[in-house]
Amino acid sequence: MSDEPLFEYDESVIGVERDVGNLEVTAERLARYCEIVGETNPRYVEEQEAPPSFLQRMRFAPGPDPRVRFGNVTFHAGSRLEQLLPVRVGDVLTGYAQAKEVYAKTGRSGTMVFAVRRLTYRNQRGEDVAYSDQTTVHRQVGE
Amino acid sequence: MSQPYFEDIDVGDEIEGAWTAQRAQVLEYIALEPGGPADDAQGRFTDPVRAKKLGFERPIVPGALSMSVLTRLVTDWMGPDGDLESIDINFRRPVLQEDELRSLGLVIDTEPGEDGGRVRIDVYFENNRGERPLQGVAVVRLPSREGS
Repeated sequence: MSDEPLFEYDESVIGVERDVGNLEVTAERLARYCEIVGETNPRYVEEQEAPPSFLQRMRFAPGPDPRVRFGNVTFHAGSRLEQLLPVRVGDVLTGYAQAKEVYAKTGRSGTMVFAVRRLTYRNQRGEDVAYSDQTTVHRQVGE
Repeated sequence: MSQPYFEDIDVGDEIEGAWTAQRAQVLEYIALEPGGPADDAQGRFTDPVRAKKLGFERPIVPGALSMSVLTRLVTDWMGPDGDLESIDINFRRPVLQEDELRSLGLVIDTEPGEDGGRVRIDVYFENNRGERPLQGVAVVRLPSREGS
């Protein structure tokens, strides 16, 4: 009999991509972002190209939720951004969200369940411009 | 802003910056997109009392903002002709508002290519308690001096 703690999640959403809306990259939004974050690279502050991290600040509708049932604490554990093509003012980006994978790891501090969600940013020409993967961890703290 | 070229980069080269995670910057960042990724339903970013109830000495900084500032360490360094291809960050501890952070990068690998070359950089924040709340790896393409 296994001692592995059980976890449950909705397997039916894994790998299913959902359109979560679109947003236009406006000069005003980009300038405000660069000002707040303190960007200095001229390609972002003068040439109207969006810095990679700007994409992660865009608000889309919620994506598929694997509804992990494990533990009593959830936190944001990691973020990966891969940029494939430049994004410029005037681009309209559509977000495609999916729950990529759910897996467990057991170490000295116990079992943790990881859920990875991917957001694909696609421009108005149908080109994938970036991928953003967000990892959340579920774990049991205390009794 | 100067432009680094691939030929000038060696494993072991360092990049350094500094950032104080000020409350005013956090509030402006959240206000950019109300209801967005840094939405604060629990009050951990905006409310000192609720943050304390959640176990934080002070309100914390949204992970996306911390990651943006750590990414900027790399994009400031790579110049206008460099390209950040990817950045992969682990959030190991919360960044507390008003923390004074050093942002550091260490070149760990270089690989020449037809379009210049790729540079892998370990990046992290170090706070004044000796902790590294964010840590990760960035991959940057730098142009070749010959191709400029």
